[in-house]
Amino acid sequence: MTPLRETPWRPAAAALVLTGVGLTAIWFLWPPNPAKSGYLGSTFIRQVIFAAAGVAVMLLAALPHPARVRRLAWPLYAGGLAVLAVLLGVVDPMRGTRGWFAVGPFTVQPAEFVKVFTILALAEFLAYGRWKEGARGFVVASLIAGVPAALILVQPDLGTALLFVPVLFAMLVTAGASRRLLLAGTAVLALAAPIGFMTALKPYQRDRLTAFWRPEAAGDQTYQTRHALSATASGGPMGRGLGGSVTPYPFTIPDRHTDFVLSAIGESLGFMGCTLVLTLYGAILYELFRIAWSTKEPFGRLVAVGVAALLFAQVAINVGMTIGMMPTTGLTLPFVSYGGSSLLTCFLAMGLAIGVGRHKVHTLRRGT
Amino acid sequence: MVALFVVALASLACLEARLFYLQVLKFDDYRQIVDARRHLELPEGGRGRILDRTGAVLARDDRSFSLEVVLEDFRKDPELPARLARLLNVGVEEIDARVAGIEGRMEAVARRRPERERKAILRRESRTPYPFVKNLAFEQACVVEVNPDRYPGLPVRQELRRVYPEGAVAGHLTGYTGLISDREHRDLPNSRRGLERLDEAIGVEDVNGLWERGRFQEWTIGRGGIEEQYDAHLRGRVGLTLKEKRRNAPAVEVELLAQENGNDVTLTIDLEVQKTALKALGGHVGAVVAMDIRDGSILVMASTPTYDPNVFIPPVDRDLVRWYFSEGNGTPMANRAMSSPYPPGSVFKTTTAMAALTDGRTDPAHETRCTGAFQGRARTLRCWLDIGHGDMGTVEALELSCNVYFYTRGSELGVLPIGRWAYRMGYGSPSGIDLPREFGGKIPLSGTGDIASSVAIGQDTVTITPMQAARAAAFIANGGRLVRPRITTLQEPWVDQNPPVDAAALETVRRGLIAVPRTGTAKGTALKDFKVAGKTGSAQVVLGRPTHGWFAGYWPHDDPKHAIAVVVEFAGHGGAVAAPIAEQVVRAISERIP
Repeated sequence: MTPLRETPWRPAAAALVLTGVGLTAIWFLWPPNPAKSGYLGSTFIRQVIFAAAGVAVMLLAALPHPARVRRLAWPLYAGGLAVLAVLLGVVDPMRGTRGWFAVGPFTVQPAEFVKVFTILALAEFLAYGRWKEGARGFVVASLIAGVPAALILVQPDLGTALLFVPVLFAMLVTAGASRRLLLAGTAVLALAAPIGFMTALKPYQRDRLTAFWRPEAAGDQTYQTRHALSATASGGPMGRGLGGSVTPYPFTIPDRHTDFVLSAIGESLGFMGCTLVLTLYGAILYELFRIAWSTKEPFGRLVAVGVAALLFAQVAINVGMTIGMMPTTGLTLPFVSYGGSSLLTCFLAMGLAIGVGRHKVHTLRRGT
Repeated sequence: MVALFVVALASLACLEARLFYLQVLKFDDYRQIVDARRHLELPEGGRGRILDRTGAVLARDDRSFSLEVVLEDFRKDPELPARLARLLNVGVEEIDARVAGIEGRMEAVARRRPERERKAILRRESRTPYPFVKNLAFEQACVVEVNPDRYPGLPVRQELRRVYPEGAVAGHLTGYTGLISDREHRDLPNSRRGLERLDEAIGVEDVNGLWERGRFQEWTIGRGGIEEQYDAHLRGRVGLTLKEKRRNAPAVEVELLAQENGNDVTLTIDLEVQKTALKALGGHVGAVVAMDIRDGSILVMASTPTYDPNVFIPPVDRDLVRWYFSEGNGTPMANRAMSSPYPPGSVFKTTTAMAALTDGRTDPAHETRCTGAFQGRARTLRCWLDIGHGDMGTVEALELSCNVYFYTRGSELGVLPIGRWAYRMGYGSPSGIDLPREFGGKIPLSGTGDIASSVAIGQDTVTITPMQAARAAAFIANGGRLVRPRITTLQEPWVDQNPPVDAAALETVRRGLIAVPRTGTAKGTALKDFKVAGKTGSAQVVLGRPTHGWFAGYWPHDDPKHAIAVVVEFAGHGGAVAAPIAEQVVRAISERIP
């Protein structure tokens, strides 16, 4: 058994602080009102339940040795793909998009979990065997990431699908793929993007993207973003305070407790609050990369890098869209945004990375 | 891998830099944008009603209309102020003054910000609706509402208007509501009267921001009577609704705080008896007070001349208000029943009798001879009956209101014991009734020469209120227990539980009071049929003018329940003018209240 003190607790602590920040924001956006919606209907209380479940998942995921997790990689990946495929065909569209199903009073978004399963599968595939550094390995790895991404893209959930790109890229780099291959891959992607833009995307998705490039022609497409941006900026250096002001109320910005939660934090806690959030993410990234450095075992290292890449990409895209540096895509802010699937997934990923950190392999025997 | 980490950190740094640019360097611009979209509304809850003891309505809120003004649109038409003045039947200078007032408030808001922003703020404020004219007639509101081209920038709002259905009958009791005064408005950030809920909901700073915009300038506040005394209880609790404008879509409204109606106040007054009392007073200037002696509940409190509180509800008839407040019109605003000083005259002899009988030196049976005059230390004091009353005991002296008997008692006692007894019977200090501006009365406690004799018959500097006279009568009826009068059921009844005074003295005085309507100074009335015991009074105020007539008593004398006091200014002898009025009120109370 690994001694407890070797467990890297710092990223978990940072994640918990972020969850606390998110809960605070949700409390002031939608104060719990059991008389109106019942306890399970209250956004805040639901998020508390999700957070508690998330911590449990994190602890469970951190327990087993990465070697045992490896054995689960393919089954989990396959299962996730199967659920996604079934969701596409069988489950009726809900809220205009597929990709949800209901469990009791909650809805589950399997796409969130598939992100982590794909990281496991990629790590398992890329970890051992020199041939995988070559072109064939590159293509297979791209397929491993591409199939779930495609399934999610047609749901349609562009944001989540796009997350697979940086994750794949970071893991390929870590696995030792040659620069030529990476460049070639990037070139293919760059060529494919306009074609995909014209064919695979729904009109409203296209509008959102064009709105970012040409806001003057966009009309109401940038509405949400502009409001989120001005709300965030109006917080000023120190913010307008929590609850003591009329301003933190959720108004014209839809999804202010989910995708645009940073605008609520920015308005009520200001630059100070946003800096705190970004600093915590920086700390998490640093800790995850340290785990990756400190282990010599490739599967674990790849998992840690994959998780880091996933969290980073999500933060960068989410914050970027809130402050007008990225087009609007529906992505949550890890640990902070409201949403059970998102929160559980983040904690699951964090748990897996911590598990790697707990079971560091300092030397690796040759010969495999 | 190191490269990956560096790239990630660099991206985060980019985001941080952008946040710095937005939130530290540019936040003021964005704050302006955000605030301009949002507008706070302050819907007021209805004011509670004022009811009499049977539930008859003395004050309530009715629907009415008011105008707001959006200056940007209002200014577009130079003819508009004149047109609006014609519609509202006011001078155009009145409209101009109101516009100027709003402009002044906007300037004040803008002045708080740096120079370069002021223009933008003024533009924003000129698009914000400001309260403008209250209580339009329905027809006027319709004209504005259906002719937006002729009356641009004047949104019509539905509001509540205070109505007093009984008008002048209970004007002194209800009081009226009026706009908050400039001084009260200036003091609002300190007093925070009525702002408590808002403070809690959005914080003191934001509430003060609303105050600077003059959002509370149109607040109504109770003035006089119950409206003032129970303002916090009656007043509707203000709500808070945040409105955010959206492009191409209806505005979003979020209710941060629901408005709530105020609470009703139930009076102990009986409206019908009140009307009877006012009718009985007729054209006289005077007052009537009657109370239930068991719990102090005031059944009637009438004061003439009276005023109509409806006159004070905007749009105010300024001439009538000026008339109400100017001298020489009988001061209709004064509630004579409790706020005006009156010399008590012979009504005070009850007090002197109590002082003499409990002093130990006076035997009620011992007789003093009245020859029509009393030789004082410095001068001769006269009895009201020139030929004299003959030999008088205490009971007879009260019955016939003999001055000489009480001159003698006064000179024996001195001022202090009489004054002490006056205080015991509730004179000289406010009674604690739940109405504002009660006059406490004045009782001398020292004096030399013949002052004691003068005080003994309720002259000299002694002043009381009619309510105190009724309270003192209740004291005699209650066996020496003082009761605190109350005008609403909200005030807890209070009766002094001190051991009763000398029972023999009380009994003597009661016998005197019982004899007054039977064979004494009030024998010409039907008061005896209602078993009333009481004392008349005729107080000399101005030489050469008729006296103030008094009657103060209680009934029924074998099982006392009610007390009454009547004063009629410059009308003659109490037995002749006050007792008949008391009789009508006693009759009405006996019929209506068991």
